[in-house]
Amino acid sequence: MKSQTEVGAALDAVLGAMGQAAPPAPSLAGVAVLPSWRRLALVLSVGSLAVPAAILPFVSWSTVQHASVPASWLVAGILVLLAAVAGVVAAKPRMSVWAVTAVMALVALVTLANASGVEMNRPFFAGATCGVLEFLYAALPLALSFWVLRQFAPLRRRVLATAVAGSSGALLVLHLHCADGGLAHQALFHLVPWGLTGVLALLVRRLRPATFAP
Amino acid sequence: MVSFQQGQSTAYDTLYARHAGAVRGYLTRLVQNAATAADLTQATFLSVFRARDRFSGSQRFKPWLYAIATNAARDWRRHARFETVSEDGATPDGVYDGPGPRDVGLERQVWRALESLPEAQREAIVLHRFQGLSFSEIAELAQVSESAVKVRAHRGYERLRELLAEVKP
Repeated sequence: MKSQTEVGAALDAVLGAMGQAAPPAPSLAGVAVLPSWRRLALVLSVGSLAVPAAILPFVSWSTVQHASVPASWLVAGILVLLAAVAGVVAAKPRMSVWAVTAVMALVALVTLANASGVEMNRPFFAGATCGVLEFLYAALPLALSFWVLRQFAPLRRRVLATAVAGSSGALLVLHLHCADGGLAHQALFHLVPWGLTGVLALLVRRLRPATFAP
Repeated sequence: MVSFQQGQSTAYDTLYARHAGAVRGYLTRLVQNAATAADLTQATFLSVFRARDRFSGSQRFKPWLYAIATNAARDWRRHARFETVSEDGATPDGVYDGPGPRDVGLERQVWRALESLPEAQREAIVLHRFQGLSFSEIAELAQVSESAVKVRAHRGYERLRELLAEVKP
């Protein structure tokens, strides 16, 4: 086996011999400066919060999804906060993957820990309507999220955070509207579709970004 | 960079003159194609220009610049088939700029060995050995801890030792 010095010599012989002439500078005529990350965070947060603001006045509200009314409002409050803050977490140039994971884990934990267990009298998979509705409600903010994503280098953690931020308003609508407090229903038809938007967004990550800046 | 953010247009030219050559060298080492590296260098500096408001004064410029270049190279890899190593495995024309004659056999093995490394390990080695970035600067650009970067580089060298066992430089 070679020593590290010998490996270094082989690398130097090949990689060290490369020219470093600068190419011509790119033309900057007509090149616009990108929106600031604060503005993009605002777009994400407003886009996400606009969904519950637009839909909740027109649907019935239920409080039996969680073990108690205070628990239900606690979760609702956390979701509002998430929709507002997730935009900042997603758009901040030096975002922390731990912040994204922690926020997602918190939402899942609080939602499931407070599930009332009161199930609706219907076949289990009829509850899939909630998942479909969540995707529909999230469509517009997700479209905004993809536009925002093009303003950044397509890093995996940012894609995930941005998509989750976009769909958190839809999660809030379901939380206040749905009357099914079953743990399995909450997990499978509320939280899984919410997380799935992040996974789907990762597939769309192949869109050409407008910049490679983090 | 701060002068450029404050609106001094000549500051951008200074940044370009100071860093473009090194960035092109870095990108050539990553994508193994001189023409692609030149395009990506331009894309990197366009990104610097477009995203200048996102640079924070508390940051160091070099890690930020190399983070952009790394993202550009990764994006290129995602979209383009890796086609720069020719049939016989030698480096394409326009890359080699060394003093002596080319050793095509050595080039072939070194490129293939580098190509087989995970990109994070390859980037850590190239940035540290050839671009002169410190481990703390690489950690800043990769947004990981300094010890994680050291582990990446160490594992990369270990793997290269195995892959280049038969090579005589």
